[in-house]
Order: sequence, then structure tokens, then C-alpha cells
Amino acid sequence: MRHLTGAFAGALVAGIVALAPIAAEAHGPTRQKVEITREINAPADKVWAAVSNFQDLSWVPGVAKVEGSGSEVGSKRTITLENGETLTETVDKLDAAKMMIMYRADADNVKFLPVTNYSSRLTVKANGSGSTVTWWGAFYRGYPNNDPPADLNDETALSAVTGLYNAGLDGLKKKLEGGS
Amino acid sequence: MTRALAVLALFSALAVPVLALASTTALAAAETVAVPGSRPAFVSVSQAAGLLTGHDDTGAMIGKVALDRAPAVPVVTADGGRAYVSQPELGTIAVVDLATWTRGETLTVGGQPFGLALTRDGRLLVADWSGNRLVEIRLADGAIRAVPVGHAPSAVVLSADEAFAYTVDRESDAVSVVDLAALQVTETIDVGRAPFAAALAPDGRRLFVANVQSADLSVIDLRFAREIARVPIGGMPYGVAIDPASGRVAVTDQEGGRLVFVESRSLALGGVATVGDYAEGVAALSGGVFAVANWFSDSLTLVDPGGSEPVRHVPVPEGPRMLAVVPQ
Repeated sequence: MRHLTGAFAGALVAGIVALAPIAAEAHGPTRQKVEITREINAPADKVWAAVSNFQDLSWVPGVAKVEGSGSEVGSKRTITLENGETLTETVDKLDAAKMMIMYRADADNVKFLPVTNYSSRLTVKANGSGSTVTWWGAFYRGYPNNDPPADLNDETALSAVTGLYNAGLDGLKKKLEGGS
Repeated sequence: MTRALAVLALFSALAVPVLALASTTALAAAETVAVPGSRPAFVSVSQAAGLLTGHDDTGAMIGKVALDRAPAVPVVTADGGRAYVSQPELGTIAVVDLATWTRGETLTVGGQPFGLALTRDGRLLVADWSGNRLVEIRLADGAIRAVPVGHAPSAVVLSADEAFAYTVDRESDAVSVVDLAALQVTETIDVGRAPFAAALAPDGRRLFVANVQSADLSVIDLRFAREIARVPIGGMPYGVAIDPASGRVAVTDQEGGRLVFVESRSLALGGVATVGDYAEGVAALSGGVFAVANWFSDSLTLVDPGGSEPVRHVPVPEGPRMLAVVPQ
């Protein structure tokens, strides 16, 4: 997927100020971070097998389907939410020994997630007979300039990613521990 | 283009209500820690914590001062006495007295001030990210001028003779050359995709530009105002610094958590060091050591000139982004 670049992107942003989707590389100056951790009562290799399967998001509520193939560096997936919005993500780094997968959004879709330049990482660490899973996100708010509208400000971005990670990790815990 | 600079507060009682209005997340402005008589080797901006911290040449923190909100880029005066720190979310520049670690006035620029540079005769240059302009503030009297540059300028670097400024225009994939006497753009130099940071070679002839999206380092010959080489770095190059003694260029790769070395004359790759997560700002300290700010790890990494192994990891307040060397 190609990004809009140079003068064309500049003209687009200048011409259609508020309503246009923002080009993937346009973002504001202040990046945000979210880090959510869950203890899961399942062996680390089993948890890693689940989170490193890039084409399975059955544990994340609200996901209608995932299309793509592979769980290697460069593998892509397109996620469709139940509301019809889509986001395509690519694996950037994968370290099975450290149980770490990192991926980023190819382009922004603030209706999917009200953020820009989104990247994310999942790690698994053995903790006794169980595991500690951490889901990290780095992103900018949806609106790059100052005085963002309420639905594209820092608080909305942080709240959306925090909500996604909490719900996702709760789903992962439920899936792996079995039952509810 | 000239308009009055609003100086909000000058070490006076005014500072308190202004700061209170400016931010709900600011820490108490009086919170400082300082070792009397010690001068930091470099300063670091922790964006999420809203702090400027000072460090000795081992990285140890020897001073800090609270700023207003989401500070980004620091620059330090030639006498090492003051730091100016951009606050893009507020459209302001915070001033810090590094001798006493106290907060000074607040300069209002508007837009989203980000990259900064200081001339020897006391002009502060400000890259206004969302205003697509370079702003010049004469610090003696607050006189302000501005010139349009490319889209989303993130950094500004001075030429060796300070006759020109170079803005790194992130979303134009270009560097603008600004004649500072006339305050006019005289050249636009195409570089890689999404350039973010730049550093001037010690001899003043070349400018090195880190390109985030094309994963490389543009080398500009300033005499001819054109890109003469593109050095592959990999990942997402976000910061660049040059050791003045050896000419060694160090580039942070934010995606890979690496510091990549390039020899400034041959442009040969000169090794790689593993640093922290989302490495961004880098500064050349004395003795060829480089300090790197790891935004995600909340740490600094100091990398030894000889080897690829980090010499020290130092925890710092949340969200370190940019560093500036303090002249000694």
C-alpha cells in the first residue's frame, strides 16, 4: 500500500481540512504510549502460540474477520470490525526466542481506531507455571494539529487503545484458561 | 512579518497563574533537584513526564525542572547557562536556567513549535510543525519574524557561519535552505521520505538527514545544495548526531532499537549498537560517547565510541525524546 507523498498530500491536506482521511505519515508532534499487562494461567509456549498467530484475532471482541496469510516478518493482515471498518497491519519484527511480535498499521483509519502512525507489540514471559502477557501500543492522536476535536484528541486515542487492549487481553485469558 | 513577542512571565509572580492555566498535568514548577556548582554534560526532555533533566557524562541525573505540557526539543545556549524547550501542544517555548535549575519565562510562538536552533548572536530559530514555517525570535527584545518553509518542519540546523538555516520538512520530503539575512528560502533540496532530523558535519560542508520512511540517511553537499548520497540505515531513522572529533555519524533506528554508525567521509557503515525501544534523540558527548533517548523504554543508553556494546543504561522520567549537549 502506497502512502500519499509530497506535494499531492500537502495539497490534499490544505484543500480538505477537517473531513479528509489523514495520510498515513501525517501526524502531530506528541506520541502516546499504552502498556497493558495480564497474568494468564497457561504455559508461556501456549500463550505465545496464540499471540504470535498473526491471522487469528478470535480473542479480540468486535473483530468480524481477519484476512491475510502468514505470521512472519512482512506478513500482512486486514482486520474488519463488526462495524465494517478495516485496518491493514504488517509484522515488523518477530523474535520467537524472546516471544515478541511487533507490527504496525500500513495506513491510518481513525474510524477503526482514532489514532495515527499506530504500532504495537505483544510479549509473553513465563511466570512460574503461568505467563505474563504485555500488549504495548505507540501512536499519535487522530488529529495532528492543536485543538483537536473531542473524537480525535489524546484522551480519545488513549482511551480507545486502552479499551482495545483490556478487552483483547481479557478475551485471550478467557480463551486460554478455558471457560469463564 | 514582524509582530510583538508575548513574554508571558519573567521570573515573576505572574508565572504562577499562567502556569496554572496552561496545563492541568504540569508538576509543581518548584520541583527541582540540583547539585550546586555542577554543570550537566547534556539535557534530556521527558515528554510524558513534562520534565527537562540534566545529566553528567556518565548519564547520571543531576538536575531536573518541571515544564508545562508535552515538551519536545531542547537547545542550550553557547555559555551553557540556559535551555530553551519547545512545547508543541501549547505553542510555546519554555526557558530554563541551568545554573539554578529554575524555570524562566515562557515564549509564545503559536502553531506547534518543535525543532530549535540558537545563533551565537542570540536569535532562537523555531521549526513550526503545523504552521509550515520557520520562526526567528530575537531574544534581546522579542522581535519575531517568520518565513514559510516546506510541510511539517521537524528540525532546524544552522550553517557553520550561521548565514543559513536548514529546515527538515517532514511531509515535503525535502530540506529548505533559508537565508537568515533576508529570511527567504533560497533552495529546496529533495531528500528521502519523511525526513525528521539533521546534523551538520564538523567541517560544515555536509548535512546528514535521517529519513524515517525511506529508512536511510541523506548526505547533502551544502556548497551545491544537493543530495549526493543516500546511506541505507534500515528500520526508521529518527535521530542523527556527529562526534566533532572523529566525524563519526550516529543514527538512531527507532524501529529496530539500534544506533547505527556511519563514517562521515567514506560514508561506510561503522557498526551497530543495540539501544532501547523507540530510540529517538541522540547526542555526541565528549570522548566520542553517544547518548540515546529511548522513548518507549524510559531510559537513556550511553554507547562507547570503540565498541558496539552500550556502556550504560540510565532510567529517566517517562517518555524521553530529545537530547542536547551542554557546551562546557
